Amino acid sequence: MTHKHSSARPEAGTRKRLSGPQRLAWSAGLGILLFGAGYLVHDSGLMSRYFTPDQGDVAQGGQAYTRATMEAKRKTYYADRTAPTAGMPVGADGYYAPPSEDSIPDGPYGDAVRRGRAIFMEPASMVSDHVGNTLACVNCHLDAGRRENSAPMWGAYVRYPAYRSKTQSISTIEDRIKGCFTYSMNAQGSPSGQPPAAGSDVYRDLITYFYWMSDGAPTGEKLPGSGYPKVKKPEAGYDVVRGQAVYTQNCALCHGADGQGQRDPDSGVVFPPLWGPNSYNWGAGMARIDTAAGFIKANMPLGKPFSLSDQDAWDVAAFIDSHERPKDPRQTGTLEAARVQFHEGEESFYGKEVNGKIVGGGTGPNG
Amino acid sequence: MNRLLPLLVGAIGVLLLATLMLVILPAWQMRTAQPPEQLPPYTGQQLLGRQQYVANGCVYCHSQQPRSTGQTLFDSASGWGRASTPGDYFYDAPHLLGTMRTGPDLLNIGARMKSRDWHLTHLYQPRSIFDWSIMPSYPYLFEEKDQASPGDVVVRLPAQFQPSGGRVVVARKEVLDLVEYLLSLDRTYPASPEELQKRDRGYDQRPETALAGHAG
Amino acid sequence: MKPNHHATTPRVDDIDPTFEPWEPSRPIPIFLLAVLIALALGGVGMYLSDLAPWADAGASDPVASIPAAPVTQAAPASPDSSTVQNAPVLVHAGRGSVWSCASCHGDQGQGAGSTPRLAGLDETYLAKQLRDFAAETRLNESMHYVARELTDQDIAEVAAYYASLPVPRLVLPQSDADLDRGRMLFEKGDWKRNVPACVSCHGDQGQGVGTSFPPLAAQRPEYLFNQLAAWKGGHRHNSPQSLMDDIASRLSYRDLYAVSNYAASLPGPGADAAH
Repeated sequence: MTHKHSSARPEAGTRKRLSGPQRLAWSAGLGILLFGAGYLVHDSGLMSRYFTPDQGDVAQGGQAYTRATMEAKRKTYYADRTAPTAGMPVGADGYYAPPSEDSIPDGPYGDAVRRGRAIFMEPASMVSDHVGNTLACVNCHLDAGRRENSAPMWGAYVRYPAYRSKTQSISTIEDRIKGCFTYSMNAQGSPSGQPPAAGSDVYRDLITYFYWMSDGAPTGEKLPGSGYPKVKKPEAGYDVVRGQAVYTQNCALCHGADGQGQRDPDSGVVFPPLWGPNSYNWGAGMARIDTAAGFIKANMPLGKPFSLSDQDAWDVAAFIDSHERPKDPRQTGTLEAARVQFHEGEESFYGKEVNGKIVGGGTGPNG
Repeated sequence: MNRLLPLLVGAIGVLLLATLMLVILPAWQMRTAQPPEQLPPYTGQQLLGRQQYVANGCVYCHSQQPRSTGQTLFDSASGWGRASTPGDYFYDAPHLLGTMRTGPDLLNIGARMKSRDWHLTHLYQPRSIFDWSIMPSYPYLFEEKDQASPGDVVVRLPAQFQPSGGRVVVARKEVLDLVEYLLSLDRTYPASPEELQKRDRGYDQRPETALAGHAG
Repeated sequence: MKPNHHATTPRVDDIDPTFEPWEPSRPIPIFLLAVLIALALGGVGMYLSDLAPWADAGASDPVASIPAAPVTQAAPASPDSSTVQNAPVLVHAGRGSVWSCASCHGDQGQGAGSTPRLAGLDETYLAKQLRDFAAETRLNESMHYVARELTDQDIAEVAAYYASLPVPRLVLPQSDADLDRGRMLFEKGDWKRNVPACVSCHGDQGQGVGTSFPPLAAQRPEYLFNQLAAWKGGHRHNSPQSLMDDIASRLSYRDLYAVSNYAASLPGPGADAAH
């Protein structure tokens, strides 16, 4: 065994040996540098990028384009018309992002927006003279008319005026809302028997609300998420009996086995009726099975969007729309004549036989 | 390692630093501590029960220090109560903070489980309620009798845990005291801002940091 | 034969007189010193920053500003004596192995901590929960212990009794929950996370709707949070159509904490506000 003598190690003669205080100075300097580096890493949020607390799941899509960025770009464009135009605000899920409800301004304009929103949420109490059932706009246009794939108002507002085959005429947005009152809100059953008259403040407030919500959405564009998604009619078609099974399993909990919904003694309707005298009438879009299937597929059961299969959505839509409801207010003569004139070629049970009975005649005196 | 003096100085210095930071400074910080007004002193029976708690080694599996929501939401979700402050332990000598959570935190057990009968059943045989429980049973705190005398507290038990022959299990004074102590463990009254200031915020995120989205 | 020691043991003149058996002391490496200094700086900085007062030192949370009732005081609203007298025996006295309901759920059914209020809940809902506890489709060992001993008549009586009780005012614990966020979730939901507003199903005041949507208002916040966390974590799964499982799983725990505390702060029907 040979000992490796310390004296045999070559002395680091080329480097000058630092004295104690010099070492301390060097290490203090290096220490401060290290501390600074660590602080920068902490501050940069690098660590929090990899170790974030649970935020719940958010739908992810393409790039978000915030409203604030849009506002900034607008200012630039107003000042310099060669600057690029501001785009439409888009959320992380790729859909148009309406403004937050906290940002409704003060003043007469903001008041109109708020009134419009209040009407949208509770038309039966806000416009009681012209509402003939116990529905609310928000029942089918979820999240106060903001929800994509639930016929949002921002999707509708930018597509009017338009020619509508239903009326065989050009409809402004006001005409369209009047149609909602006439059919979906069953105005014929209301105390006045009519929707609000043209030029009414009801329309004015609602339109102001829709306009405010659509700020940034380009006029004329068919925005993704507008309307209800088209659900292809299944090969097997639709079946009311199958639909009843789907209804019992998925819908009856909230809308009742009898389809009349649930009421709270103090606050009124919680879950809206789907058929019968208090629901939408035969002229409403929702009475068409394909429309209802699209709504249901994307939005129902509430909180479980896109949970039903296409087949189930069509079946349960058929089941719901096979029941009697207030009559189509356009029917002046016979049911068959109204069917031929207004409902020919539709996917609906209007004027057709269900369980041995022709449906479409309405539920009683007010429809 | 062959220079004794620097070695000793360094070692003692580290110990002194630890003593300073962990003992002297905190004690100085809490020198003016007053008990919170909503916290009553223990009654005699509760103190006896506390001695039982110590004697039976409950502190080895049960902590008495719920963590704050700045650190984790787990304790809050388990219903263990708000983060404790120094004042909550004013009458706790010795403190029973504990370090283990083999079983749940008990600082607020008297706020969420107020049933004396439940505690008696659970202490006699935890597996009569939680069949997966590893908590030891404490049969010696009880006694079996042929028949309960007036004033006896009979323990409610499922059939398979009852003693045979129609005998009943009766709580001894020790366990009644212990349950009194457990029922007195309620520190859910709001902590005053001064008390909150004294908390070692440790892992907590400051509200401003939490809002900015930084983690920890 | 004599062992030949001389061949193996070194002779004195073979030993190197300059050999130093101890490792020569070397100076502590500069890098190591630098790391220690950086850590010391960090430690001192953290300690000093911890000493700075926290922004919430004012405890502006409205819930926390409620003067706390002494621990021993039960909730104020008490049922009239006839209700107490008509209570099923189980409620106040228990039976056999079963502890009395009131021993955990309070004399007025107001609950305690994470033990829920039962007073004023819907009869059918309570009965379903008891059956679920007995069958272990809803998991809670203490409630399973109780429910498995109950007959159908017991369940019906106890559920009817608690449904008939008035909703008591709650003494709410201190919390640092973001009540604004809680209110937002409660009244509007978080549709970007596919979470509808709580009021859509639980009533516009959180008072509960029908037999399947229990009240959230004036319910113990620890209980609400506990249950929402149980749905999120998969521990509870007796929600019809797994509606609550989905909703809870889409929110972060902090959101669940916020909405629980907000809902708990709402007054029950007919009761004064909780302050």
